[in-house]
Amino acid sequence: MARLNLWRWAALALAALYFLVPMAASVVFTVDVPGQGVTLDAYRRILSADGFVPSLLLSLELAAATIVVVLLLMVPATVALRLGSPRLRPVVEVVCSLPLVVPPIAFVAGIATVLKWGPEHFSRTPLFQTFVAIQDPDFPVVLVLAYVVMALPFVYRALDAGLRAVDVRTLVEAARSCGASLPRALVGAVLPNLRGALLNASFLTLALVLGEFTVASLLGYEPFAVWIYAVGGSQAQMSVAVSVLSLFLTWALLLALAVLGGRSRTASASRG
Amino acid sequence: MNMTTLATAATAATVEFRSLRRAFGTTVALDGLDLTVRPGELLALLGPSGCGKTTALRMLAGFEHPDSGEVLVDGEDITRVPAHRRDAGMVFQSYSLFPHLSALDNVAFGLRMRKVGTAERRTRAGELLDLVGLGDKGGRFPHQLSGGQQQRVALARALALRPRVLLLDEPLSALDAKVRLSLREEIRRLQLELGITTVFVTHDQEEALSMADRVAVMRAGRLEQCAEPAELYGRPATAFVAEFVGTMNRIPGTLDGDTVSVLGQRLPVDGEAPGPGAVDVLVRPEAVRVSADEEGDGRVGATAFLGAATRVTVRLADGAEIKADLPTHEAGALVSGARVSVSLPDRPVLVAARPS
Amino acid sequence: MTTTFTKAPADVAPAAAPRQRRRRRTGGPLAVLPLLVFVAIAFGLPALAMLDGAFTVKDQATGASSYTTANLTGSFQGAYLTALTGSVKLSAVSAGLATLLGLPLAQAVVTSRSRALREAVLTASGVLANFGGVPLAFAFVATLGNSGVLTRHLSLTEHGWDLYSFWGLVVVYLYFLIPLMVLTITPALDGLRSQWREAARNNGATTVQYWRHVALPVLAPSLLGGFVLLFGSAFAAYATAAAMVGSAVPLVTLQIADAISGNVLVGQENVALALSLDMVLIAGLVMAVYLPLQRRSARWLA
Repeated sequence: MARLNLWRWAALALAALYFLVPMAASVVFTVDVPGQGVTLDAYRRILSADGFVPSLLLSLELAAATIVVVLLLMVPATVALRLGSPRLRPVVEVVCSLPLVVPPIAFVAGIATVLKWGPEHFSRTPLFQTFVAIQDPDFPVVLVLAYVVMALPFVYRALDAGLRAVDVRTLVEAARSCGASLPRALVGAVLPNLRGALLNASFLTLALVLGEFTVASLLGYEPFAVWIYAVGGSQAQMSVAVSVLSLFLTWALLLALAVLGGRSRTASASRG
Repeated sequence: MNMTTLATAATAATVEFRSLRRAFGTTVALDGLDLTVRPGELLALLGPSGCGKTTALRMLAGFEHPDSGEVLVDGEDITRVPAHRRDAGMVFQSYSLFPHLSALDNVAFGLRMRKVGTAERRTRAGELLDLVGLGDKGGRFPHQLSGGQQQRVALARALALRPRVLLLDEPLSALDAKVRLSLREEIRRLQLELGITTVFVTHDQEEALSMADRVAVMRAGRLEQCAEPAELYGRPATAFVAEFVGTMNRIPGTLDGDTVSVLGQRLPVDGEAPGPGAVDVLVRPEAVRVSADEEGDGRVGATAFLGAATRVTVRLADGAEIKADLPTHEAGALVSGARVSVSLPDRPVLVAARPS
Repeated sequence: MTTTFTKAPADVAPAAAPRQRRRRRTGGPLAVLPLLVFVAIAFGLPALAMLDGAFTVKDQATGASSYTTANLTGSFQGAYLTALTGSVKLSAVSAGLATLLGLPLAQAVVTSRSRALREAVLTASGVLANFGGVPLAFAFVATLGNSGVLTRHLSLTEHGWDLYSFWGLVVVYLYFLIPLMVLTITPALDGLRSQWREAARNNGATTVQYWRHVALPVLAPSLLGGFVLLFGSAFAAYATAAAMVGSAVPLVTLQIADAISGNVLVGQENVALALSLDMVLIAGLVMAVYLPLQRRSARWLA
């Protein structure tokens, strides 16, 4: 028994070392400036830094739009699969896994090609206006489209896991036998039971959009991750400070999720 | 003829548990268990969940270790022998087959661990599968077998190393009622053919009574009684055994010396009696006699058809309820609400202190 | 498995069948349709454009395009081939290491009786597995870069350390790959039944024999599946590498980005698309290996 515990603690200690040292070192790096001693200057400068607020806002707006779109698309589809379209299940499963096969960099190569069609082929048609509109630098819809596609696999898995834990068909039939219409049964009985899964899916999407760099940078937009990269070239301390902050932000979001979704998770845990 | 090659290593073994104690935190699983399993017998460990029966079995297998006390096989203390060097084949409750191995390879697993050559272990594993009636299913994987078939394979696997003791940990509890019955008979047949000392853990009293040579009833980590099924049923040593094994009526009575007055009769007391005063008399339903009687002080409450017998529930004037099993042809007249009189045969009865 | 399971209720309740059939014809497809249309446009168009472009060259003089395999051939030559093999090597090495290191870590967590430890490690893994990209690169630059905290205090440069190298990238990739492995393999380890260990012991197996003959074979599909998933994840990673090494280490993602930004020879504009197609083929291969493995392990460990 003692031997067993020894290797376990060794493994955990090594892991903790590997995972904590870069974080600690990053913090040290940002506050311990050679020649100046310990200073919080790097963090103080973030708020006033050029582009910080607009890029963060852009990222948050993109995230909100992506979450709304992806949930509107996926929730009805996944619930319908549970309710009576098992034959469509493999179709949806494959469709939602396709983005895993196309790495973001390859995806953005394809998007860039399509966007070039606008001026090349459609410049005289009304479709051209659409091409211009989705590339509006103030709110690039094309990024939302890309992010929704990239989020599909994670959202599908989160919702599917949530739906597996609740027996949707029985829930709906129980609600309907109590006199609820089908829409009411879905909204009143199924969705509340999916709260954990919805939160989970939203969080994964939020994390994806906040950290997304590849598509945005190659299409020439500057949301948060691209901004950090741009700042890194000139102000190393501050870029690391922002990186540290973004990690803590992610932690905070996840903790909030754990607290909010905690009840449903313990419920499913006690089942097993 | 398979029997000659498959028979256990030597003569059957004796197993002794000596004052075994084991506590998990504040829960006491075994509280000084003493029990001897005779060579070649099938002994059922019976008791409610948490009574320590599984802990006792797992100590024999080497998966648990006693805080004090010892386990002996043929007089040899094996308490400190690690699980993989004990001569005990075990069948688990369920899902114990290795999912990545075929039935044949599952059975041959132990032989492979002992570095037995491929050809020999395949032959032996095949024979063992024949023995449990699955000779043609050797190539199937566990997920391709039914629950009953899986347990048969597990039984063959447990016998593969010619163990001196066979341990069965509720092997039937995850199966359908029908499969349970047939596998019950099959396990017993095999056990008798091989003459292997077997310990069988179960919480199902019917299973224990129908299969075992002797049944050990446990309660709260201690042995209540160990006896042959008929004796256990007919002469339970304690009120707990009496009520746990089979159905038992508690009929109010008054104890006076070594006789008890109950239902207007005066009957001798069997076994130990509590102090004089109000007691409960313990009577099996099939021993209760019920007859239609306009003057009787009982009324038929409910009747339940059990096939050859019918269980009649009689409510007495003082509120006590008595269950009686009558031959169905006699019970026909006793409709719900009918007045009846209840009597007991003139035999010594068990009494127990009345629970307050 | 799934289909038989979902069909079962209809078999036992024939009366309910007509109603379900009607619902299947109307509600189901209608609810799924928006998703399919969306994917067809937002994903299908770029995918088709990539496919089309990968096989197209534009004649500089006339402006006419023609179909050819020249782009694909080009993507397997010279610097592009170096980048492809570089990516495969980096992904294979870091995924392999992450698999080897993630397994004992997950086992340490699964066998621990402390619920708090388990929750903490799994939550942390969830965060760290998603902590790729630019912030990760900068955190490591601050730690092990040329003027990083550890580099300075331990004088690592004098010992030959260079973060902006193949092994530097491996160390960084492990930071999100190991947690990903822990997340992937934990359910499989949870699925290892204690009965199997005990049955193996009962059949005379030592602890080592149990791991060699039972636990590892049963885990093999999950481990392989996890490795393949990690490989795909490392293979597709771009942001971390771009922020960290620029082009010091040849990687296919960096080459594609270069090409999309117009940094290519005349006449090779579409090589980026051909390279993308190469990536998709490799990622597709990864999936083709992963899915059957996943199915098998689900059957064993259910």
